[in-house]
Amino acid sequence: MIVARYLAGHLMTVSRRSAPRVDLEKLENIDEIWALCFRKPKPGWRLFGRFLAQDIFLGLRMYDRNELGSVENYTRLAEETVGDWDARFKGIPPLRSNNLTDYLSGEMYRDVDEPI
Amino acid sequence: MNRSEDHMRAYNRGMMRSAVVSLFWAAIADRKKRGGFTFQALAKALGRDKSAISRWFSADAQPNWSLDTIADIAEALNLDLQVTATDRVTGAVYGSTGVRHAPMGLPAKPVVTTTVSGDRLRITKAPEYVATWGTKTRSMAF
Repeated sequence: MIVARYLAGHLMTVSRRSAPRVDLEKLENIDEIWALCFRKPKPGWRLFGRFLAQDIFLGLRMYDRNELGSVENYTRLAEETVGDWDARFKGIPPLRSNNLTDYLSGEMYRDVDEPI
Repeated sequence: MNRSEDHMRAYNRGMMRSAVVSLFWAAIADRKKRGGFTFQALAKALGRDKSAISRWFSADAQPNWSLDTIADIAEALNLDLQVTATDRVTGAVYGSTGVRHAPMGLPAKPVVTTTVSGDRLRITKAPEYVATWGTKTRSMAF
């Protein structure tokens, strides 16, 4: 469902501060690694990847949430994803921006880090 | 109904709910950008708590609004809704006043296509990846 909603251009909830219960999360202190969060059915899945350009997300690793387990293990595996990118796309930088609009076009995201 | 049909029905329902929520979010986001919009005012117009409005636009919320609620939200946002339906095979477009567009022929057949509520999922082989997905809006590969 989350992939279909992303591809359809539907509303995505996004956080860059590890807020709970979002669709798309930019992992803190890991260079441009995002997690697309499949939350249902429980325990769900996490697809780690990077944006190549606006609206273009490259998924590099996918894990059952239970497999990720602790924060330490989650972080370690997410950090390894940076190496996956370097191995496949050496010399091609991921999209980097402080503005969510640069990642997802059309204002079709809700930044949960900002109060409504 | 078998398990596969159950999943497909759940998927279709989820995408329909997501499409309607996203439709209203598009209007809200545009109003916010132009200034003057507040969720407090929207909540007041709907006679609901601001927190309830916020939950509608949360991850996995996918509220199952009744048509009455959809009409109320549209009214609160000062929107006129237009409803159309597209035939998945012929591409004919129907509106509440009849056929709006009758195609001359069938659409070209893609490699693999699953069409749900007008959104198209296309699976192709690419040399670098297992699969790529794309719509006119966003794309993904892994």
